[in-house]
Amino acid sequence: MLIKFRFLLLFTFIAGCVEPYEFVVHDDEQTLVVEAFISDKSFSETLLYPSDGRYFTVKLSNTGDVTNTRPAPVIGAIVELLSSEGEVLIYTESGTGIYTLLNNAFKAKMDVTYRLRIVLEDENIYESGWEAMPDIEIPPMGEIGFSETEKQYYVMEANEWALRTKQVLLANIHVTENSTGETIRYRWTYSRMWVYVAPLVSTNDPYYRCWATDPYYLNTFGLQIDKAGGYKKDLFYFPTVPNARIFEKFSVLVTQHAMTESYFNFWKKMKDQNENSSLTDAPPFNLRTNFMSSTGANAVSGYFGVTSEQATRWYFDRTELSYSVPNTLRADCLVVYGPGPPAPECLNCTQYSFGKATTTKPSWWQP
Amino acid sequence: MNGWLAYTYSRSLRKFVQQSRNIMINNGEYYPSAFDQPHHLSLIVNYQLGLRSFLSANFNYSTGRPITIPVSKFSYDVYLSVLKYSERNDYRIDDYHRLDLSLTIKDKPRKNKRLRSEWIISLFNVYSRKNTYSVSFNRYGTASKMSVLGSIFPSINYNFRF
Repeated sequence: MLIKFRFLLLFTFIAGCVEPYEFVVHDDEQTLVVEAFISDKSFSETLLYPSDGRYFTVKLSNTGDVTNTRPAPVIGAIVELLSSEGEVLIYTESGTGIYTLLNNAFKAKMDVTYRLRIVLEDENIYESGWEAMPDIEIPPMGEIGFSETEKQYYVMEANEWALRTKQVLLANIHVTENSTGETIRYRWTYSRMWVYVAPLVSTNDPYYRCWATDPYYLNTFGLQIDKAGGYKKDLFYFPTVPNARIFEKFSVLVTQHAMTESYFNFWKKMKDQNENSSLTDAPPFNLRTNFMSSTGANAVSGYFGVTSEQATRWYFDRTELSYSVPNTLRADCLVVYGPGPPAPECLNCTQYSFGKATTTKPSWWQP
Repeated sequence: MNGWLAYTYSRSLRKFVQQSRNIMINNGEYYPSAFDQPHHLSLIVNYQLGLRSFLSANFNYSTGRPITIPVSKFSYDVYLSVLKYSERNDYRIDDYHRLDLSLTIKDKPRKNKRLRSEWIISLFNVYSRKNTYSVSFNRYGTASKMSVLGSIFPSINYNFRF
């Protein structure tokens, strides 16, 4: 008891004095942020993944102050893609701060270098360095598989965080054998979609079945430096019990980008800075950019890269698991929480509350 | 009354000269090290109240330590909040200063008495300044500071020797 009291006293003196702190920032000028890449797959080719297709885009925004969470888009810019062959392609402003290269056939070519040129409304000009695809023959993309495992999660129970173990599905990719002996740097991104059915309407109802997605679900990417291949690399995981997203059919388009060392290091450092938090982390530093201003404007954040791209679509059905995952949606919708009708998503799939849902089936949806 | 005043001015700067501009720290220019605290001031005053008691005051001041802080942020790809940092150690935490007071009362001197003792009543951090011990940032750039003994701390000591 006495020991506990002493610890309480010590805790009061040390931990009890943690409070918010604000710095007066004196170098908080807005700087340009550029998100852009091109690859060796044209829009027409990405339709065959299968997917809705992907045009090359450039996203322009400004940095905001630390207390601000919304990016400030940059509008009215002129964005051009220059190639070492003298080609100049112009992006079209297609959204707030989004510029799209509306060309179905364009794709990056091996042994050609590319540069992005941005002219802002204030006439400041920014140019990336000349970038190219990695000069390596990339082996065909391997198959996507999964394993079953458990992970520990913090969950809120009775207004307190509790550590609980959940069954999870751990998706992986078979990294194809690399016989070239050269180092290949991979980045994998994930585009997910699943079927949601409104459990309290008949199967003939137009709002019974939807195809849903959530930009914040599986919102991560994988990185790997490979020299030999022939192994499985873990990509992403999600809990299976409970997970309403896998009650019907679940699909992920896994896109693989092979890239240069400097572009890979940009992503690696960004991942390290945003996902690690330990005492052994490197001191904070700014990410390297390959953009320069030819008019002496402020430094830019972001990197323009050229990648060798492949993709494969993975479908998953919960019956593939070794254990049963019961569909609890109907039972959940029948629970009465008070007067009034059930939740809207129980009667209309487009009212799905964990993402966006549409009744239009994608043309490429197979199962 | 007696006492002393000590003042020190010192600098601790670092410079890394490297071949590649890609891995240069602070563009190869000098920057303050984490221990750079130019001004140190120490003032001690003792005031005799009577034959057996005196009052002491101790005041310390030093410049706040340098720190690198997030100055802005942006969203990029899957990350909603990517922090953009200041130049290396371009900012400083608050200056450190603290006042301590103590009253010492000695026992009556007696002939042939081997035991000598005194009472010391002291107040640490008289004006309860929450001096910053460390500053940490979460992934969204929000800062928190930790203060150790950030309030007035009274104590009573009894010393004896024989």
